[in-house]
Amino acid sequence: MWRYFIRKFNLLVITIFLLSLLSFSLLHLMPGLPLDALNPDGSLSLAEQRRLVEHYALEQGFWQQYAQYISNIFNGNWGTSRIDQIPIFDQMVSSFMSTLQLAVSAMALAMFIGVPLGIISAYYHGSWFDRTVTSMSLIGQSIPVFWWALMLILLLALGLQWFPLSGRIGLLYDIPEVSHILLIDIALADDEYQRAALWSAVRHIILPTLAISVIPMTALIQITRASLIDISEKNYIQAARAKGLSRYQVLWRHALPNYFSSFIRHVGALTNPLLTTTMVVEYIFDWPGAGRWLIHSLVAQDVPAIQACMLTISVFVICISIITDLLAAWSNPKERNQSHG
Amino acid sequence: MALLGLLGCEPMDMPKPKDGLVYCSLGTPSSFNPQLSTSANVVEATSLQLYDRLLRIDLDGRSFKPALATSWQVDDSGTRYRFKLRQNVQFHSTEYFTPSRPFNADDVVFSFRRIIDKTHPYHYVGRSDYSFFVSVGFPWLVKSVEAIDPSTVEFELFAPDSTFLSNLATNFAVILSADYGQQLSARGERHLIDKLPIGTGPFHFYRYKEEHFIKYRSHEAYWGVAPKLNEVVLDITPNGTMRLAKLLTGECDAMAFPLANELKMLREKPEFQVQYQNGFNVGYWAFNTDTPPLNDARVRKALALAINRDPIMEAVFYGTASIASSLLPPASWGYDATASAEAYDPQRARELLAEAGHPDGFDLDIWLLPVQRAYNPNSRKMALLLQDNLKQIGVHAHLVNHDWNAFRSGLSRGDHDSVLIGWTADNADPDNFFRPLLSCQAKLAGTNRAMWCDKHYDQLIDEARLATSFEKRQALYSQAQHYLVEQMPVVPIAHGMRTQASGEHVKGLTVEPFGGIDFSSVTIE
Repeated sequence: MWRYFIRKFNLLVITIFLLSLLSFSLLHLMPGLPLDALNPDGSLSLAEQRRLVEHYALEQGFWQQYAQYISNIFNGNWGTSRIDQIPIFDQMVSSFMSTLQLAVSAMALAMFIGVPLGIISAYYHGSWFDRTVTSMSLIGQSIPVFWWALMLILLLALGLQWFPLSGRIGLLYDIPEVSHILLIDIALADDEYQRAALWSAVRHIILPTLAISVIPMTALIQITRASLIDISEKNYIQAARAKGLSRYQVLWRHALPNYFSSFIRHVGALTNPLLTTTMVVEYIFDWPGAGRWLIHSLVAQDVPAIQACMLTISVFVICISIITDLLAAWSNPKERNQSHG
Repeated sequence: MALLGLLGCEPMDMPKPKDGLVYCSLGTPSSFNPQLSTSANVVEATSLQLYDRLLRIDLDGRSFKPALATSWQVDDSGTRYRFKLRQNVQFHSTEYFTPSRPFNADDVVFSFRRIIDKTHPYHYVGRSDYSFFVSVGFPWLVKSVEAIDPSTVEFELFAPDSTFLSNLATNFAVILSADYGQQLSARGERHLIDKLPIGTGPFHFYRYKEEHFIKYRSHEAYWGVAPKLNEVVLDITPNGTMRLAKLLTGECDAMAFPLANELKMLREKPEFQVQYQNGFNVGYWAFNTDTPPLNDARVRKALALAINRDPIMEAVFYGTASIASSLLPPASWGYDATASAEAYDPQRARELLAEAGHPDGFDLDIWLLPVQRAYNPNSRKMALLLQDNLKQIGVHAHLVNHDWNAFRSGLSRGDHDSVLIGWTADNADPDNFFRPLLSCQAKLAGTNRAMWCDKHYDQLIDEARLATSFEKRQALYSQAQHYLVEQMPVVPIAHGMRTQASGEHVKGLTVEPFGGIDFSSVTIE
């Protein structure tokens, strides 16, 4: 396990190093001098430009600048946004947490529905139910997510008017951001309208969650179904059946534990598509998350914000993937001996 | 899905927190001080919510109502204006500022010196050129602003100017707090003055998130009738279709500027109301009077006679505009109904062209306004209709498209033959139409799209500006309008309406003719 852990840790360090290098180079890859990229409309005064030059060590060599960039990141000094002068770190935390909440709720919904459907499909393999679920999941997988999101808006927000179409809570509620997790913040808020605020938050999250969850849900249905069918053809399952265990007992006692031992790895692999989808959907629903922030920063050519966004999201995805690998290895020694990874 | 159904079937109207209103606004304001910018976003977000002016303009656009000044008098020379100020007016008390005294003359002096006095500590804060005040010549007009006593302020002008009070009544001439200015100076945080605003208006600043929302709370010690709403939230939604969608789902109680082609849909729904107000604007077709054959007034008149405005009203404005017969909208006191352009008459137009020596017509470029405005929501469509009209008299029009910057710089240089453009007035004074659009001064400043410089016309509007008697001014502006009909440097086409839509539960919301939106007397039922 330790050797495995060290191998993974090395991988993590190297990847993060490369990512930070990439995100750092963004400033140099922009057309013109790095200072022009930080001051695209030329509106900064000389003193402010001076401050930027110092903050990014722009007068020194490439590697000194890189070292300065890394030390700024570790000091929590991520610079301030060009647009509204808010520290980028605060903005990043707030918008990234808000993205995460959406992604987690979509993943939860996907697991809650996708895994049971996959199990039932595998159990009744070949039945009409299986065929329906398989074709539905195929359809779900092939629908572009933004089209699906717009259809949800058209039907449930504009048509039936059940749900609001933008934001994460009614704007009249005043919930101070303490933990950056909306449900906790609502609970902490000392507000007579707490229940109404909670209700508003729930109504706001439903449509984007439905829109995002389609991707991980269809993936989970297919993975669960395929792995269970695969497992059920293994010799030990055949042997258990031959011993006289019912199909149900075989599924419950042998096939499912086997499947769940690699489940965490599947979930880890879904992190990247999940976050990408979330960022697209955020933009459609005007959800104040990292995706919306990234697009606004791109439009405003706010390079420090783009760097921060890119670095945070990619590091997060790498970390999740390595953590799920480690968890899988810890729970299942077989996984440790893979030559790759 | 059953679960979703249950959630959805709950009543839509959970108790709204406090008496609040959400308004879908046009865009992120560049600052919270309308002195600095003429942008519609800034005016909408701040002027009528956070601030008061010394006086307000009445709806007829002619007389003034007291606001922070209770009375005022002009001396005989017409250069000294003395304002008596209202007592016991409180500035906003917020998380970042506690006023140490009520409003007095120092605040007025502070607010206007900031604009005209380059040595004022706040003049360069916010890096603004105070574009509205510069465009009306304010820094060269006002000699001094002095506090005579705590409740009296005197403005001294270099020369009499009958538009002075109108300019003080605009959305831009707001009163800031000198007390706040001193506190910020003492803390070394002057840059905050336009970011964390303090005023005397019916609402005070509470929270702001760039590109997302602005939250205002009611100013409890407001000197006027206390606002009924506890909270006003501006949900910043630049996209017109998105604003409409939010109004439909109830996320916004009111919205700014519904697109003309969506109005019909809104009018058909009983749960919404659409408000209109004739705007103080004009959409027009300007001829470059420096280039032949457009330097001949007969040719310009012929082109004006050739266009039929009725289809334009239908196809371009969907009924949200009125036909313009003068630069001035009919609601202006300077408007003269007898000085209206002649109606559609292609036969007469052909005769005039022949008289001017162009019996077979000529070729003409029409530049298209690259943005949507109330006075011209679709310049391409308008130009296509004009093109068709002009073909009847043998004039071949070519439509020219430019992006915004090329459009503006090309127009200033006079590269165009003719252009479809317009103007929105900042105040009700007729001078605000005549001077910036057609004076020789405007030609130098690069805002005169007709490149027209006419001594007689300039003399008329200069005299009107200096005249103090109302009747005299009216007569002079009437002469100016008759002269314009004769000369036809521009063809007025339409006065666009300002529109807004709201849910029927919103009561008391009106459209302000000069921009901005006033929530102080709005209630929610």
